[in-house]
Amino acid sequence: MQNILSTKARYLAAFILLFSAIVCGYAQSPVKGKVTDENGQGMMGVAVKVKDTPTGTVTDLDGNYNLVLPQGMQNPTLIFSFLGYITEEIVVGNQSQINVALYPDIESLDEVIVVGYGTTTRKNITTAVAKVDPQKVPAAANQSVTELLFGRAAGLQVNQQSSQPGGNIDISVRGKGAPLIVIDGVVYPSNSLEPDNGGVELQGVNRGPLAGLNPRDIESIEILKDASAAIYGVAAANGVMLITTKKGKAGGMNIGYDASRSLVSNMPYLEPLNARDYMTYYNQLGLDKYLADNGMKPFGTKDPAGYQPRFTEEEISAAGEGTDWLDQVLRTGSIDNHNLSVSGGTDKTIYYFSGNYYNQKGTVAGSDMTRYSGRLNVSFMLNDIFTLNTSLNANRNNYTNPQAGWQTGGAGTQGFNALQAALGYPSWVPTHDQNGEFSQFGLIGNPLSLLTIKDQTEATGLIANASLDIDIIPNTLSGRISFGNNNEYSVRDFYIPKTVFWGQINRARASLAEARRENQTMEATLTFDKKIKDFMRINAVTGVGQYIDKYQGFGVEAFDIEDAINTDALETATGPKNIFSDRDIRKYRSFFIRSSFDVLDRYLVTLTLRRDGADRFFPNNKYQNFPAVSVGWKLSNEGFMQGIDQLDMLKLRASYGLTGERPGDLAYGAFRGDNTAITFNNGSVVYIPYSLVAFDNPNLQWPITKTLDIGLDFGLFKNRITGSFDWYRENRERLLVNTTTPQLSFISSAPINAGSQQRTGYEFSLNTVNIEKQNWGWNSTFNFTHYDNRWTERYPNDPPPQYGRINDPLGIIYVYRTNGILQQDQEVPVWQPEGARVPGSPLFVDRNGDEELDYRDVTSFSGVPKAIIGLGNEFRYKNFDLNVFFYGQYGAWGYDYTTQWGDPIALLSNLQNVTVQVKEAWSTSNPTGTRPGAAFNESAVALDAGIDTRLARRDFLRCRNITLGYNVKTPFTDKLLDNLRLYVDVQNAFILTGFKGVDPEIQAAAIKGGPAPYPMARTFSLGLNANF
Amino acid sequence: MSCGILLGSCEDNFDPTITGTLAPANFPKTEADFELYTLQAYKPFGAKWGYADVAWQNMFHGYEYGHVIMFDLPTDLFIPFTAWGGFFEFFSKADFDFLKNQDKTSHFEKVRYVTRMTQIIADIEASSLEEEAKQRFIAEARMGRGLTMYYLLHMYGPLPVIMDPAEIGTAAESDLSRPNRETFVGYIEDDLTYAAEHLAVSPEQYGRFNKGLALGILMRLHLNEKNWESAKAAGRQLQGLGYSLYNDYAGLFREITEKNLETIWAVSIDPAATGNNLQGDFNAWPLYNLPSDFQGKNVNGGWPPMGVFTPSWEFYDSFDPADKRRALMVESYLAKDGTQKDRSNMPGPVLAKYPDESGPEFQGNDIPILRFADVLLMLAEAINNTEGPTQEAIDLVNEVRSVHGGIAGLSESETASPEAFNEAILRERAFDLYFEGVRKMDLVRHGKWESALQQAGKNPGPALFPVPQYAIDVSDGTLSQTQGY
Repeated sequence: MQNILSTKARYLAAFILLFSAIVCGYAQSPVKGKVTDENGQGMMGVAVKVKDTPTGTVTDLDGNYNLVLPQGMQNPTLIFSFLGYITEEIVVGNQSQINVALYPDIESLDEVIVVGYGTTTRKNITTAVAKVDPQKVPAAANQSVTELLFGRAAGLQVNQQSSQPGGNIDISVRGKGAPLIVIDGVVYPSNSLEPDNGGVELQGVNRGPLAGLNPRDIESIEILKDASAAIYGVAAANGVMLITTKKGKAGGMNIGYDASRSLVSNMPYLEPLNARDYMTYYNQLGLDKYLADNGMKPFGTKDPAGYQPRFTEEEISAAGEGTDWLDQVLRTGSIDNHNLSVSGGTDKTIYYFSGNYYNQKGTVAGSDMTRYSGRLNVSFMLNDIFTLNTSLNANRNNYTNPQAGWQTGGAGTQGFNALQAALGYPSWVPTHDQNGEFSQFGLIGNPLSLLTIKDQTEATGLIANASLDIDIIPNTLSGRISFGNNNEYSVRDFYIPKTVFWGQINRARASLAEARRENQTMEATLTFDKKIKDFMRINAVTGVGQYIDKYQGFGVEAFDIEDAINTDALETATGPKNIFSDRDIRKYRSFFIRSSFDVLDRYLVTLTLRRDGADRFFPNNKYQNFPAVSVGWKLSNEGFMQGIDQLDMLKLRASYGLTGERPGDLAYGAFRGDNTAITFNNGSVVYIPYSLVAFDNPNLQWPITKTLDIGLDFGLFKNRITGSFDWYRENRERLLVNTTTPQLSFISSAPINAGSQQRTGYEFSLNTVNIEKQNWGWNSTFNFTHYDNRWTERYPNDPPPQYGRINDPLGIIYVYRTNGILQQDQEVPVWQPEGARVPGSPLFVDRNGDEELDYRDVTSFSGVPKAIIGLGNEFRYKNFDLNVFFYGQYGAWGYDYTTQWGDPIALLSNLQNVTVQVKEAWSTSNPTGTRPGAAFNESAVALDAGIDTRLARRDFLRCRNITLGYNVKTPFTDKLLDNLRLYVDVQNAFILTGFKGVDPEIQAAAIKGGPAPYPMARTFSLGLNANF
Repeated sequence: MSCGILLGSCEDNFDPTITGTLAPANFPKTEADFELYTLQAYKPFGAKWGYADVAWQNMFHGYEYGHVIMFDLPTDLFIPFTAWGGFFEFFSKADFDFLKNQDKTSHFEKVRYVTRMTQIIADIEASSLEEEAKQRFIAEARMGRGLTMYYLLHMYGPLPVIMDPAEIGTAAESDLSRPNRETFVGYIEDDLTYAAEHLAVSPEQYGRFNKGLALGILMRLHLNEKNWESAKAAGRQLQGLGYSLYNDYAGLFREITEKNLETIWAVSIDPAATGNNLQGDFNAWPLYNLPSDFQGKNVNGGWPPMGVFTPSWEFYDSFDPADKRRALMVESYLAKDGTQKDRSNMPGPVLAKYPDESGPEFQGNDIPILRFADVLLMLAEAINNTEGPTQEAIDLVNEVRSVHGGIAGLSESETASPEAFNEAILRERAFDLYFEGVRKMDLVRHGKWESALQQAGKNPGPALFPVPQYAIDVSDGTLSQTQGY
């Protein structure tokens, strides 16, 4: 009793003491203020501490705090800290209100890293995982998530395949090809869903995956590069890209609005000959061709005679520039991008909602894209045990497909699309003839007329996820049941009006095609997390999953319809009608377990086992185990390293594990209806024969990729310098490929397990905080990637060519070297091949000096880069910020097929115009020309490997972004808004490259007539971010 | 735990869902099944861009690497075509070296077709079909196999083939040793003999293999192998099948008169085809052979600046001017731009054997592969080589001259000796069968491959083609390159 009383008395005394302190307080220094995040949003729970004292508080729901400074402090300083944000120290002085903005700590060691079925931190990770924070990437003109990734992570190769609206961006982890994409735990297809347009060769569509996802909704992107991917064993051999979308935070409602307007202008494109040059060069080169065809000197032995130039001097001098056909098809584009997001929550519910409108007018006439998308992520904390998470993402993308690129078959000029036609129409041809009709040249459709072709794709998508979290033993054992479904539907509506001359004919051609697909993920997991004293921490997760992919396609093609009817009533077509449909279902099942042990905060071990099954194999081979182990040693936490102040973290790690690839081929035999009909009685009796196209293959099994990765993570100088280095070796074994069978087998290719490849490489990333002051700062980021991928064993019936070696790298380019041009009167080397023995032919190099040109003279070039880099700098000065980002590659070669437009024989075919590159062609009028002349026809030289005349280095350094931002801080806006940021951005500002084609990244295929890839563009944007 | 709950069911309901194909367990069973199964035999013999036999393949009677491109374009009748380069140019110059570098679209891959027919024949034999149905189906499969091997023989010489179904799926599939010529010819002879025995003379569906075709190819085989007596025997059999010469030579190649008593077998063309493989065969020859400035009846100019197949003026001039067969070549025309085109500015006459009477693109004219006129000329040659220029043999040639050409019989000097008559038959075959895919074999048989081509200004290599290098690389030394390469 006595004791209790005395205790009460002590409380009372303390209370009085405290009360008196507060009463007297105004004589001391109270400080209050508001802490906001990088978006100006109030931050709840920020620790506010008075330096070197125990005094402190935390901010409330809206980010406000109140604090009384202890008495008699000299020069008090406040410390504001929040996990994942850079800690701020501010000297109080005589201020009574201190508002602070905290900025995320990009490379914080406590940064959370998503690793699949769980998370870890930068300091504890034992595998090679790269993280991209979309908040750090200028957002203005980005239509897809993949656009955020250029140069942003070590080990990630990102290439723009096409620059059309929604254009395909190729993503490859360590050069392995498209990774498995997992969005919030749900597997998502890595290609776009594109119905085709029937049998017509006009096919300009080259778009990428994830088109329905708004990049502004992305919280983080993690890329699992090594055996860490084994937890996704089923399809993880190419690595895994984990995309996490934004969730709400408990606290006040945050309304965000971003808008940007962009102007898109084409980078320099191929330049066709103007009318005067066309005539001049036609005459000059035509002379050579005439002399060569007639065996006249210097190409033959006869004396020159009888050449009639096609154009007279008068015609040439009157020709002028002529029609600028490209100007008729290319234009300045624009992008409007609007995002609205609302997020927030209570202790029972958190929510995130966003809506996006994206509208792009492409830089090739008639190519556009509009996207409407919305996302709703809501979590309900039902009680202490259950939490229900739901997520919906819906989109509609409307595309007008570009007439750029190249025809899909070998039709040549008659199959040209509008952009090819614009390059192919001679400048001396006017746009319209005397009657006001579209002019007509050769077999090419008039570019303006081709633009009236309708080609539209409408794509809709719905991603719906639901998961239930069960907290079984608080902070120790939890479970999750989840279901995710991706549903996409696309329709392609294509129509060539009768008024359009295309494919040598005026004919109405229509095609309606649709495709739908569904990807289901069903999983159940259990997670156990326990700290055993200070000695060890165990984290384990185990689970099961089933994954179903479904695809269905259907289409109708019809001929001869009234233009006004178009595709609206195909049954009225009087010409042939073709129908197709197809369907595919695949099922996979998985069991997995991962256990991580952290011993003494020094030794880290993670063990993973995934057992995967695929329905496509025979029962005994359906399942395969994919085990992995990774270890880490935090050297910096060892006693012997404690003395080194500059070193914050040093961790050595290694991982080894197996991953698999989803099999594309079925192990089961099948008779398939031929896609070639057998007809009799002049087509009135039609049969579709059935042939055996696949054998039963009970032994077919999962391919295996074994990856060893050794890495080092470090943090120096209070983590102002952080980075990682990784070296790896990966063996792909018993590849599952559809490859050549023995030469007399009646099925020419069949799926087998054969061959192996080895990939080695290294990569590093470095992040530095160069200057960090209150008013200004400078951060840099750099990453470097190198890999080499070569054969170690070939497929049994596909030996390398004579000039190749068993262990050559993949993507190698074999060529005969040439060195200059054969001149008139020059002695023809004996090894020059038939077809290259006339002046103007390239001079072949007899590399081994045996006076013979054969496979022994073939040399090789690398088709993949030796180095891929990303380099960024961020500057901050008061309310301004400036972001400059570069990426590039070095050491890759490739054929530049746009040089086909510069071939003299293309000009002289009289079927098309050519580009100014033809001026570099050798001719009797231009004996210093560096490119092959009119008498040389590459396709008339029979060689077993290519020629290097179109080979070009694909090295480049591209300035992806220059962004200048300004945070508006005025009393007026502060009252209205939490934050307001204005910015200007230049995307693809410039490129440093020696590549002469359209762009070293953009694809351009070898096609009869010449390819016209969608031009690369530069985008100027003006935008704002506002938060309420 | 959750793992354990579901483990029990991991094998349940986990069979693959197979879509769009038939399972080997259920097909082929019925006669209708076997008909669809056997119809594969026709795949290489259409006239389309090609067909997928897992890998892409060219058709023997198609437009890329087809019979006329391989067997007519290289010969003395046609001039080199350089506008497109590539295989057109190489074939037109009789320079076959480039075929070494050909990929798997090579006709060499047809050795797999031979194995496939061997499998189909074995499957039919093992089935429970009626004997009559079995014979009917096997005859079609053997016709396809025999004709394929006949063409392969004239491209590459004897090639490794699997005729014994027991070897399928064994190491024998990797043994690419070439059989000797006698053995290979024996395979062809057996197939065609069986086909001739069991195929109908006039099958219900026009375009199906028939007895006449089997006999005609057998006759070509024997003639080329100089088995004169066997050739004669096949010819005599053909004479008894009711065929006769059609009195309008041009009509043989027109859509409206394409079915007649002379054409023994033709690719039956679908006039509505637009090039889609699920439709019938099409005739694209006017697009290849009319120059781009040539205003056709329906075709507004062909694809190339000059016809891919442009006959030489020498060939044109070797006709009797009164010969009606020469009229299928155009010696002058008014170009679309108003220029008068004639001998002074044309590299050769325009080949218009298939008139463009159907539409602006593809035509409906059937493409004859075997005609009775060919049989008569072959018979004359076989007789001449065994009995000399008998009256019967001379009459056979003169019948062709008079019915088709409307011209007088051979002169006395042309029939004075077996040698002279042989020469006259070779000439006559060119007049009647140009652009029908027989000239290369004719020149080789007459020992004139080199001399005739040299005379035409070409620089011929071996008459046979090289096999593709990839096949040699994969053969582990068993496949020998064609002689001369």
